[in-house]
Amino acid sequence: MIELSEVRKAFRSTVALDGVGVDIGSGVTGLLGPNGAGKTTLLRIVATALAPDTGRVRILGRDAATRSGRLEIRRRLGYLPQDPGFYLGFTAYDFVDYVAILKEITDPITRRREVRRVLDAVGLSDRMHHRLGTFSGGLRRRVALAQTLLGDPHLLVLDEPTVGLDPALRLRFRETLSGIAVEHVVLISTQLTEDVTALCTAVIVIDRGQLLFTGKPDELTALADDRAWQDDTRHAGAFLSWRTGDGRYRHIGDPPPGARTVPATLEDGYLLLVGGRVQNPAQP
Amino acid sequence: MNRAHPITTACRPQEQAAGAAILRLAMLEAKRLLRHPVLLVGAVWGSWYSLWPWLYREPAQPWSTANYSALSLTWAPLYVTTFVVANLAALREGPPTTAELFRCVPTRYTQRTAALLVAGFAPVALTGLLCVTQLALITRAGGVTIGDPPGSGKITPTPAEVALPALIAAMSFAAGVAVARTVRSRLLGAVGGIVGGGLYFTGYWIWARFPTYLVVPNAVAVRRDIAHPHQTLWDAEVPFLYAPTGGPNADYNPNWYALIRDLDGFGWHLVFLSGVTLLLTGYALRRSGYDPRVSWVLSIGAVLVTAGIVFQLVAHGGPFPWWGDVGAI
Repeated sequence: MIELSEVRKAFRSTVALDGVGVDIGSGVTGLLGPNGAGKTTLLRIVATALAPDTGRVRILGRDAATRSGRLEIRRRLGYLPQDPGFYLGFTAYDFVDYVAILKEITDPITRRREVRRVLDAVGLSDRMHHRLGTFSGGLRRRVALAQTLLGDPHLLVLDEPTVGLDPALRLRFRETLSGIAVEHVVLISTQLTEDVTALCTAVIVIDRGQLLFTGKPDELTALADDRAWQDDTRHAGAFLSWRTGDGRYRHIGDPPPGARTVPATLEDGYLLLVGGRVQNPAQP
Repeated sequence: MNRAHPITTACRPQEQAAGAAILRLAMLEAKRLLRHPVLLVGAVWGSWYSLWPWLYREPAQPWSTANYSALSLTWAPLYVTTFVVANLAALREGPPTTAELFRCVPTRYTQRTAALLVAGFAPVALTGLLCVTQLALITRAGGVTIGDPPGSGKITPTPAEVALPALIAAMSFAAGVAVARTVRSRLLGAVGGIVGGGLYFTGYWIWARFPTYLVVPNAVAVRRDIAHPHQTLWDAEVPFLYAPTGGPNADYNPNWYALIRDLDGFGWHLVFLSGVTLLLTGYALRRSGYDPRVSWVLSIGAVLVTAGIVFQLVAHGGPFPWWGDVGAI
């Protein structure tokens, strides 16, 4: 449903994406990568906010390089930018209503029902007539999430969607996305590996504009199999070590002989991959 | 959060609904504009100058055409605030706010600008409504006094003269959007509105003395008969109203201006203003993105502006000094 082929994007001398090619199907796909890896650039290209310098982008069967293609994609898109911006003088209802019109939901009765539905989905029913200027960052994030759900979009592109959400709402949001992803495409960028573990059916890792991994979360976790161990002391030979809540040290890297390995997590696999300690066997 | 309300009932955006989206957006913007405190202040302020003095009787006038000349000038606060609210509404969307988010919606930037420009009918209609109220008050007061005794008389403004403030408001609104699409600065918009409004107030007294009178917003249908600039009251041939050259108290002055009502020229001035409004509209749309239909808006605007200027000159009966006083009062 999303096909990127040899996509390159540079901002002056900084190459944000360098020949990225990936196919993304229905379900929730998580996009992982360190800061400055090119995640947001990739999301912006998929959301048609940005055109690649070279390469081909086809989304939902439409060519994003053509004006008519972009229009059709945008008619089926819910997009949450990293920093969505708000009209602080608007109420939550007015703002989402405004976006609903921009998304061509023009029938007043349908629009009213739809706006209330999405605000309800993010738990803002009781505050929908409060001004956004009085909202905290977390509440504004909810409003931003609400507008992405307008019109039951076929494609959801979400940049750090769960940042600022409380645990209960994060769970609810995951549930919502899971429901949507049964038939549609959801692409989320996140720094939270637990979001990927809990939600995603596929995961993409990029770093310095290049694709490092595409596959299932289990496959990313499997990269760290037998490479995570625990000990009472910090191990100088480990790639990364950190102290856990029980006072012991968790290490990833090449375990010394006799080390007590522990089940790997997706975070372990991700850290080893980005650190260059492992390679995805499916990647060249 | 309502956990018993799963998201399964979403509606789909309508296909081919751009026109409907523009209309709905325009209605929403219009409501917001009419509730804007700056515009409301302008409406109250303008009404204070324009309606209040006529509430019971015609106000006393310091010279023979003062009340008539003031008909469009006293709405200046409304013109200024119309400019400012248009500018603010057009500047609402920007890189610090929703530019990124709205780049990915089907309703394009040009269409959003078009919707805002259509919403401009709301403050224009408000101005028109207030002007009709003013007309009703003037009519109840028996009309506007023109001239000085023994040649004074009363006239009632025509619909064309009542339409002038609404047209100026339309032009102000389009200018507010055009400025916002050129310079992204609220400060500049506010300063531009105030300076523009100030020029409007003072410009009448400056530009009426030059041919540029034909290309400024304000206009009056009552003018001096420049064919016979100075004549004695008894020698005047046609006009029905007179004003002494030395002012109403200059009894010693034997010369009088003959006042004529030149509605043709005034009407062409309205055509000129309509053209300017369309030019500003087309410019604001062009700055928002490419749409081939904008060329038509610009072309029609240019034709109306040209026709408005040329026919004001043609319709201005009798010989007129090209580089000098064109006969404004």
